Amino acid sequence: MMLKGEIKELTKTLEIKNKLGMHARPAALLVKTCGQYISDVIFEKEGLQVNGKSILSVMTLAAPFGSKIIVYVKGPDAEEALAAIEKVFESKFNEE
Amino acid sequence: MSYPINQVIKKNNVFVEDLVKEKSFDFTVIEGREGLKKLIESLDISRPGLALAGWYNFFTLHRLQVLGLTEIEYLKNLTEEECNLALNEFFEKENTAVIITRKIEPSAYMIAKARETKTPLLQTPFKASEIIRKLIAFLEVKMSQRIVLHGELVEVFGVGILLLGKSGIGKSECALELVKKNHILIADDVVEIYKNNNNELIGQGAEIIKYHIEIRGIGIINVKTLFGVGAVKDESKIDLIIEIEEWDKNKEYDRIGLTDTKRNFLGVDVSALCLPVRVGRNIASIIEVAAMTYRSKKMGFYSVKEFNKRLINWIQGREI
Repeated sequence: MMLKGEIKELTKTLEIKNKLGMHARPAALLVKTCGQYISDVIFEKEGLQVNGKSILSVMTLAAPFGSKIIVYVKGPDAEEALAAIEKVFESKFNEE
Repeated sequence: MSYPINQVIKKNNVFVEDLVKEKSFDFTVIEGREGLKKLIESLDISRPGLALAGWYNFFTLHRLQVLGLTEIEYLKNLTEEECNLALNEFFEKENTAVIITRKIEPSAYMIAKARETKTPLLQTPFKASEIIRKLIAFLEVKMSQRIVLHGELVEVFGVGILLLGKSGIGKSECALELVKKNHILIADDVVEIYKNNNNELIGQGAEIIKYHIEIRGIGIINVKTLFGVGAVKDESKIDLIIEIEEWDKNKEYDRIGLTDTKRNFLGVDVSALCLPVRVGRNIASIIEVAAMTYRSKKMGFYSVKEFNKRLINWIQGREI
């Protein structure tokens, strides 16, 4: 599964905006989103970095409402992936 | 900021309250509760005998100070005025905590100084040498550098195996199958690794997702409740690293097993194998064989070497 195009590295800090924070459902949504892209995704909170394509990893972030997550995306479709991840964060993971 | 590698270093802060929580030290907090949030900055533990006698050259701030029988007896031999002066100076040194051994009761003045300087004053029934040994062993593990890897940690026939590979390659499914074959799961997805005092790598799972495993199509399952307490373990030594990858036509896989490849984590070399996945290859069974081969090598029987010896003899026309 090789996609032509240059490898891009992007990073952005996003905020958790749903009340319950990063529990199972938002984590699943986020991992699903990351999984749609070839690029690797890493989330970082307070020095702890986890693989964005692994649901259990994302849950270990233990990120409550208001916490800031640094997102690193690397790959040929990094721009699209980051935009999609940002959209998921902005939509409060379809929660309150 | 550059893209981090998928092997991250985790900072592990230890505070004075973590020592108090640890039952094996049997600490009683006498005074200075406000200081329990203090960070332990160093593994160095100080016996402040010379400092109490007034020699503060080369004295380092922010250390755990252990007052043994020597220190306490020395202070007792001073006049009250001298003793108070010594304690005044000693408690000004921003000590992380002051530990009194053998359950000796500290003087009222010492308690007052601890309160004033917000220095935790802890009491333990152990002797100074004992508590220092325990503290160092504990802190070495807790403060050690840790890395977090994306993988599985299983114990197969007593051999700790770290499974690595890309997302979706089937690591979790493989771990589940090994559990079904009566092996033990230590961690799914997130493996925290540190080096112990014996220069061995130890792996643990993340606290919150402990005993859980994610299987695509089913979701998150609890291995402990489904398979019983015998199927899980909190930590294990890592003896062998197995990397699972998609079969690459252009890559040379080990066909004989005479070369011992190593991978290095935290300065420790661990034997490593690379297993290609293809339809019809049962990875869990292959991992069981890899574990048995590893054990057999450890016990001194290296089957490929024995085989090659026979082969050489046969070629030379010697008896086999």
